[in-house]
Amino acid sequence: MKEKERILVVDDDQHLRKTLADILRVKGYEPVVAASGGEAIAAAKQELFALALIDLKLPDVGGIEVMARIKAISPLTEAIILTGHASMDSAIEATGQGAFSYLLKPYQMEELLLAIRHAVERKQAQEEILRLASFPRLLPNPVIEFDATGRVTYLNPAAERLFPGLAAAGLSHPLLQGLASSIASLQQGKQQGEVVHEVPLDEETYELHISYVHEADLVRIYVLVVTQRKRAEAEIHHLATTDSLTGVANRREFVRILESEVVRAKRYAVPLSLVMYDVDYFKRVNDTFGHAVGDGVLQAVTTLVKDNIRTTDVAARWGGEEFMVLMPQCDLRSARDAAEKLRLAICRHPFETVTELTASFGIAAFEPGDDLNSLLKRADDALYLAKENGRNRVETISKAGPPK
Amino acid sequence: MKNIPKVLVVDDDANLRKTLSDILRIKGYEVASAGTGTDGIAEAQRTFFNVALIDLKLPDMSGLEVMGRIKLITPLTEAIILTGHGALDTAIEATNKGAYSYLLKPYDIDDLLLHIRHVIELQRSQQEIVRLASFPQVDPNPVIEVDASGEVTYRNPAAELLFPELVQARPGDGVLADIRGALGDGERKRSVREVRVGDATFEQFFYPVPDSDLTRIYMLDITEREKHEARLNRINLLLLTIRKINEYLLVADSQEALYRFVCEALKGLEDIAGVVIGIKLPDYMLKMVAWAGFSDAMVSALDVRGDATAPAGGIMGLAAREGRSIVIADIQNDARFAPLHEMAQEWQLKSAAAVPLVAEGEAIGVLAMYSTQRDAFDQQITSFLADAATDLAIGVRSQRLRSKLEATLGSLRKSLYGTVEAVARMVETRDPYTAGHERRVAQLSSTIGKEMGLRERQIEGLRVTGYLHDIGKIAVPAEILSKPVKLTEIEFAMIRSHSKIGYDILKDMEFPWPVAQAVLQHHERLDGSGYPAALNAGDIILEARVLMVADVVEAMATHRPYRASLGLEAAIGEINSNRGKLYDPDVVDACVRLFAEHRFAFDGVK
Repeated sequence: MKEKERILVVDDDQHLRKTLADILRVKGYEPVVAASGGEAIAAAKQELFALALIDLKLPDVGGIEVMARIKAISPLTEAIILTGHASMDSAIEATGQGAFSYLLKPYQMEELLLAIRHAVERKQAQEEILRLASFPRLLPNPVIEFDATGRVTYLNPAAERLFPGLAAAGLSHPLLQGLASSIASLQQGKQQGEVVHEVPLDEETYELHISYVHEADLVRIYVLVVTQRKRAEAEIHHLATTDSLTGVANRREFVRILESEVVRAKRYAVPLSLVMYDVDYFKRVNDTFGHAVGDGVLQAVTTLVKDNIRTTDVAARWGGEEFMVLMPQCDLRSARDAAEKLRLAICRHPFETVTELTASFGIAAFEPGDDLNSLLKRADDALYLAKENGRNRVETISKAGPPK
Repeated sequence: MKNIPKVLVVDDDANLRKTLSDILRIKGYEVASAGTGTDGIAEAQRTFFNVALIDLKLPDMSGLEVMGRIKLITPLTEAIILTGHGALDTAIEATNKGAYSYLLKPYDIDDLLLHIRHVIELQRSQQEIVRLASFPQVDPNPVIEVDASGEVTYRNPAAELLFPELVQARPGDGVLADIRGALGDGERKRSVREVRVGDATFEQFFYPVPDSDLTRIYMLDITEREKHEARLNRINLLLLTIRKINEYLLVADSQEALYRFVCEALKGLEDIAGVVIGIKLPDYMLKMVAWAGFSDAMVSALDVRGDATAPAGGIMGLAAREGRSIVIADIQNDARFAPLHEMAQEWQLKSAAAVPLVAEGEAIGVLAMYSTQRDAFDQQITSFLADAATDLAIGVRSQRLRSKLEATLGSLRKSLYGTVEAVARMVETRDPYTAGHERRVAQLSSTIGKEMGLRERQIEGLRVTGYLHDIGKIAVPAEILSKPVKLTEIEFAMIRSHSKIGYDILKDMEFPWPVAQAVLQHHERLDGSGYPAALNAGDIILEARVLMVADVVEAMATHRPYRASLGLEAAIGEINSNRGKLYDPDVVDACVRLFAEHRFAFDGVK
């Protein structure tokens, strides 16, 4: 399957040329002969040789010159210089200029064949290295390689492009921060196979596949850019937890937060208040001005509320024109003050088209024995009371009932 | 391999050993030396040598044996055999047995250094090859190389694992479908494409491998990414639809319209074959109340019971029974729903979700969706649907409550009015000549209230008060009431007592309005000239101020048996001239406007 390696024999001695060519053919090579430097260079232009056996003394051009010209045409072609004792110094010099080796005439054929084998092997190794080097080089994803000391030994072009400072920064690069211990445990064989890490960096998210390459005693990281996937995931999470119209938490998310806050209030006996509010006569807004105006009103109201609550408070849409604000660390009296502030903010706000608008508020504070539902129910009852008592007002209900 | 290369010299000639070691050290190698084969092997056991220079003739064993033993210990150590001319054949034999090369003594030191250099180079190349070869080996993504004919020349382990059958490019399905264009012939260019293999989607990067006819294909599994993006799209559309439904909840006229709207809206989503809403009846049958995408026949085939006595009630029955969302990812192969298989095949239904309509912890019905795609309802989408179902259930409940509340209020109001009217009629029967007076005062005072912009509740109160304002006349002898001639002072006093008597009758009754007070005050006047208490303006309640005007206008404008009607003009004249003096100016103005603009006429009076 493997092609025969081509060897160029350059010698002005016709007999020697022929003998050598015959032996090489027997040994499984494909010889091509040239009687002069000119012929040799012309042949090198025609086809690719693994090796050139070059007599140092040629009628037209010097053997070293011939070697140099051939290497200029095909850099991977190896050369072995053959020479008499008189020119040994030149032969030694030739190895300094890229010849694989030299042999003194008369040489042992075994010795020559051994040298040829070594030269062809070297050329094949070089080729293999070039071929294999293209794997990481062409890889569209970044690859990073470290030695045991944490020094970067290789970055493929994709990695250089994406992480320009990485070669200098090494393990202290933001991409690799916090990975030192997993890299170490891979290296010490404590962990087998591949370790996968997800790293957000700047606007992107990367998935790092880290493995220890035993053969080379190196740690290699294959990097995948998973930003798009992550964005889609984040977007889905956002959609799942927020109300699309107003941008505040949706009912499901709010219930989730409320549940955990109720547990906290129970366990640590910290105050917790729940404010339920509702835009007065909202149906009328929709009926009179249409849904677009109605939507705008709901957006404006939630914006007002968000602007007037603490960062620890959680605003949510409960459904329709009903909204919630959860106020952790806030007792009934403070919640009442806070809601009063919200009520005023809404009834003083110059709404577009509708101009004037009010909201009614019902408040309940967590009391011993409460659960999620009893708290919700009281807030709902308080809101109903606020509606009953003429709207645009704040009502509270404690377990003992509404204040007299 | 940036380490300093190590050389082991094994020779029994101490001088030669020393000289060689010195030279090699100067050339930058780390050197160890041994005078016997045994010592040499011992050295090799201690540390790895890149090269062992071994004299063929050693006192204890042959150089070949030493080489063999060392290679057993460290296979990557290369040996160079040093020997005299006499042993050339053995030296050549050594190269066949794994020696890198040999040198004949006396050798040129430059030759030796060149050989050592070649060994080190070879080892470095090999190491580099191993390192580089591990790039595709360790790569978690598939890498494939194909030649110009489309034959696979290389697969990395990831590719072998994913595509064990892959041998050759074939047109049609698979990893290497239709890749001819990217291979051989003409200009080979880098290119990218997406390809589906089974359920997965890959991005393929094609690169011509330099100096060869090979094309390398790097593959990236983007299934997750694609899935997420597709899912995001689906969820977006679903949420938009749910929002439309929520908007409609606010304006729906009837439950039926609401159900229909929900079905139509959800049917509009991608790959949805049909949507059905069933409502639980008292006997646990699910009554299909609305649907879209299915024919009536299909829906009646779905009719199921929602109770535990019907285990094969299908997905809707199950959801109704258990009060939780039920999803079938693959209807046609789900053993739980075997009775549905045939139907599902016939109707091209692949997956389904049923979510209960839960209001206040009770499932009042079920919303079911059927898709033409398998696995269309993941957890997220199902929970959105469940949310929508909850919204719908709450909307339905509040609609039911609203109509129930209105019905209750209506009947309450009716019964209250019934009582009030009955009482009013009773009073009237005692004074047939003022028949209808109470009813007309009720009509006028409530209309004035409305004109004044009073709240609905107050207006209701005015109507009731109007009916009852003369209830005290019940205590006045009938012949005085109907006497068509001038009354005596005593008779007048008796008539005047009717407002106080009315108050006494009404004061203990529970009205949501100040009926008794208004009745008591309806003959008071702002300037204190009225009776019974001669109150001043500030003490007379609003209801009484309205009532007195309505009472006066009605009395003057309509016919009395004992006198002809003074007429509307006289009535209006009376209140206008006493506006602010006897009567509340706002009430007078409202009343005058009503008549002036012909927006009021007494019922049954021309």
